[in-house]
Amino acid sequence: MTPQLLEARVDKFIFRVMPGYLYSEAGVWAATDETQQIVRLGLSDYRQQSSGDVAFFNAPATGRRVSQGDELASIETVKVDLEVPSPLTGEIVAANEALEDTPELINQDPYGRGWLVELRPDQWPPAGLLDAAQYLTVMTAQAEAEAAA
Amino acid sequence: MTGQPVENAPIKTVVVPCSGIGKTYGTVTREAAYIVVEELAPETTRIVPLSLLVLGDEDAQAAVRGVPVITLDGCKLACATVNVGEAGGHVAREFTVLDCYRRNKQCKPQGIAELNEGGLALARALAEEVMQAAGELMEADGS
Amino acid sequence: MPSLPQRKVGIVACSGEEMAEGTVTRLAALKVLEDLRPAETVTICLPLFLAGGEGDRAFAKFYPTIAVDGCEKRCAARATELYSNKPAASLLVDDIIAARGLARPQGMRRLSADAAPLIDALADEIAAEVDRLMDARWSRSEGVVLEAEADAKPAVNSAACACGSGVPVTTVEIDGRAIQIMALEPIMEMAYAQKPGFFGETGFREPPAQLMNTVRLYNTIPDDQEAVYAEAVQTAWQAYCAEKESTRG
Repeated sequence: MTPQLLEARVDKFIFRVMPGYLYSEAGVWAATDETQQIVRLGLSDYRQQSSGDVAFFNAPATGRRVSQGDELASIETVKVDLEVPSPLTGEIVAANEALEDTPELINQDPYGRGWLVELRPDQWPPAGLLDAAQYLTVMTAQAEAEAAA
Repeated sequence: MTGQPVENAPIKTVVVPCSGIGKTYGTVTREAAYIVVEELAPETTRIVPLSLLVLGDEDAQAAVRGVPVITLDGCKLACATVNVGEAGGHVAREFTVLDCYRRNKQCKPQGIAELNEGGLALARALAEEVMQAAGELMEADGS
Repeated sequence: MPSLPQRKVGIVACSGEEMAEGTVTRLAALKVLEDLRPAETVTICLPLFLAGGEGDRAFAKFYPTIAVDGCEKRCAARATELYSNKPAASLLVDDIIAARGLARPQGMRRLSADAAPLIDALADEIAAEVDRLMDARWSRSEGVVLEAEADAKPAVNSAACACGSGVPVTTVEIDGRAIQIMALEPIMEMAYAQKPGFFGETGFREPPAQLMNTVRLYNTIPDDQEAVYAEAVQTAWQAYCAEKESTRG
């Protein structure tokens, strides 16, 4: 069953947040299964919408270690070249191969088929991430500030 | 409508750009459509405005029925393709600016009211793809 | 402190490709959006009404819109009303040309140079309508400006704060006493929009606990006035929900 997404409306935009995931303020989500061995990472709905239609996804090399805040991968849209900061420390074990041919999955299904990278975390859950309700509040404030700018 | 045919040269293809006004991609679709109907094939192509199709204008609906329609969309919501389908038109080919940009990465479009050089180059590249598709459609039709 | 949803005005331009006037509407709308009133406006994409742009449709139901049309077919005004709500204002390029004695524009892909004054004039008219609508009370259910109705609903009444901050103040009458609550209307708007997270299991008729907590952030409530304020919030909330439900129906 698909979980009920949280949502916020800002102007004409509707931004959704997946419950059960953790989020960085930069709009990168992290989710793991029960084993907590591998964490899947992706962009939040707000981050993908505000970045625009993704033209290219630049995948990282697997086996590389990243620290929290390091560049995890990058995407290119007409609006921005976005370096995606890693929300946690660990080793990259996989990148989403589907994005090579269809990077628009990041826009179409940001919490599902549009995931970016899988990583083996040093620690789970990591410190400093937000739950869905907290991120909804932060994200709404970010969206409203952007709309007012 | 624009690109009216000269006498004895009936319209073979209708071009419908997405008509979006808030993004660069929408401007690229419109520019590409104008390049096709004003420069490259004024005798055999015409634009049908999407706003008329949205409203259900009978003339506009009639214009997209019975001839192949090439749609040019600016984003994944595919307004042009969806609205032509809703109007009972036959979408023979669909183009999106994003795909065209992926094939022409050097043409990064910017600007909405006025496109930058990259945007104009991308619009021309898209127009040429449309022309090729229109030619293929005419060949298939035996014209 | 949470940020509050802001009143904005949507601009729906016909953008018709078959005539120069369509290009004029698009360029004038962009001028308002980017230069004249960037903080107060958003563009609404007309084709998205049919193609499933839920955000655009919802916005046009929820907020006032200005339709800007290039010809008498009035695609923008009629389609907005057909798929969403009646526009709060409707402008026609021909009217601007006639009223100001301007030249009719030529060209489509590239407008003639004499179209510039027309674009500027139309943009000024749109901006003036934006200002009017930003100052007015707006009924989402009726799709009309409410100024004339303000006295008809004395129990719950909102107006801009006299301090000039632009924050609306809602006045609720409880037992003949006027209780003034700052920012209540946008707080309710936010609470309603964020359901179900905000509502939990309380249902629509009971104000969610978060609503009162947010009200406290913006208002100093004396301890001995807690019950009166709670009743005022409940009254306002019920009126708000009733209006929303009638719109949904």
